[in-house]
Amino acid sequence: MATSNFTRATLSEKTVPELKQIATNMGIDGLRKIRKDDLIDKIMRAQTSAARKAKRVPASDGKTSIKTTKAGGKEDGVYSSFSANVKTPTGDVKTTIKVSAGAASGNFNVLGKTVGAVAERLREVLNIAPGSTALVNGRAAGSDHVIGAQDKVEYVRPAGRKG
Amino acid sequence: MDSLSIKIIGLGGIGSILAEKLARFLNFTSDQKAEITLIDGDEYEVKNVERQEFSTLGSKSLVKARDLYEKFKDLSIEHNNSYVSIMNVHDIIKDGDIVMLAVDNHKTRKIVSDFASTLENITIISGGNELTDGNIQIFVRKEGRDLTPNLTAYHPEIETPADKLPSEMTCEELANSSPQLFFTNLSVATIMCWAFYNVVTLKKVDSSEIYFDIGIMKTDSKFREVPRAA
Repeated sequence: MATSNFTRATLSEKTVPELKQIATNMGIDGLRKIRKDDLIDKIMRAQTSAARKAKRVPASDGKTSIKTTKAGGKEDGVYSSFSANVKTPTGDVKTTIKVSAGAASGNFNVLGKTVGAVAERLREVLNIAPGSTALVNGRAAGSDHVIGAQDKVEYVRPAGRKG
Repeated sequence: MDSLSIKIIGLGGIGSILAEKLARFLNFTSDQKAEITLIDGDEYEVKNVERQEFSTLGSKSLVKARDLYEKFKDLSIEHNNSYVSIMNVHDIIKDGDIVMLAVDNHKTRKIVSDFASTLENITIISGGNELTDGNIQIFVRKEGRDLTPNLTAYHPEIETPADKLPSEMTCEELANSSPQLFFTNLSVATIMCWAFYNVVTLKKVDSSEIYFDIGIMKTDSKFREVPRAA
């Protein structure tokens, strides 16, 4: 997980949905019916923990390197175990992947995860309909597809019925 | 330059707005001649007033055709007072048409998409919505080849529709339709106009589906590959 640098004051200015997205990016679970103050506490704790534990993996030559870390104070789970840095030809370091469902989208730390696991993890955040067709780079992908650094992931939202 | 043959199917909350805006564009802005055919078997009634735009009560296709004819003299306006079904779809949609599909059920979307896939050249711009979100699909087929996925390709709910055609519904079922928001219908109609402008006027096909959600104030455009035939 990439380390973040939020202050408590910065987090306090954000809305609960924004905080939930930050928390999700950090691999924090248990976000249902959580109060804003508790959410901020979790993010601050996860940030401190990640800063202590994460050791950046040298990224070079455009190759993906994946390092196992703990995140969000949680040992197991979909988001808790991977951190990835990808150095692009322009030298940027990429750690997140665009995931969308309908108009909702976000950049999430899902490198190395399967499409099926990510759907379960982001179901509430992106309002992913059960049984949605998963696409990777515009092409149908099975639930066991492992998400790579160049992927864009979409869960097809069912078409609107009314008119 | 060939005349455009545009079929607007469905004149409810989306179609009644779309017809007016598209006709205005074609009459005053576009340099292409156009014939618009309005297709709907429904009647405009008092209960429709909060979301639909017609000048008077009566057959939707006829009333809207008269409304457009009065305003846009450069266009050829036709009307067809029937619902699309598997029995008449081949009479309504012809090769080379641009179909603006604004219906309120997946069963009609399925009939139109399946028939369109048998034609050599066709463009379908189809819109639908729920209460505050919706989507617009763009299906373009040129010289017998799909340039974008058809309406059913990634949408099992359209491939195997669970709903009914309007002609199959009882009066009670028709009266009990779920609530809709005018702003959502308006958003679908507007984005269908975006799609028309890009695909028909500019001849650009770089999106196959556009989603919007008023609740989070976002739109997102997708380009998906045409699935390979099994």
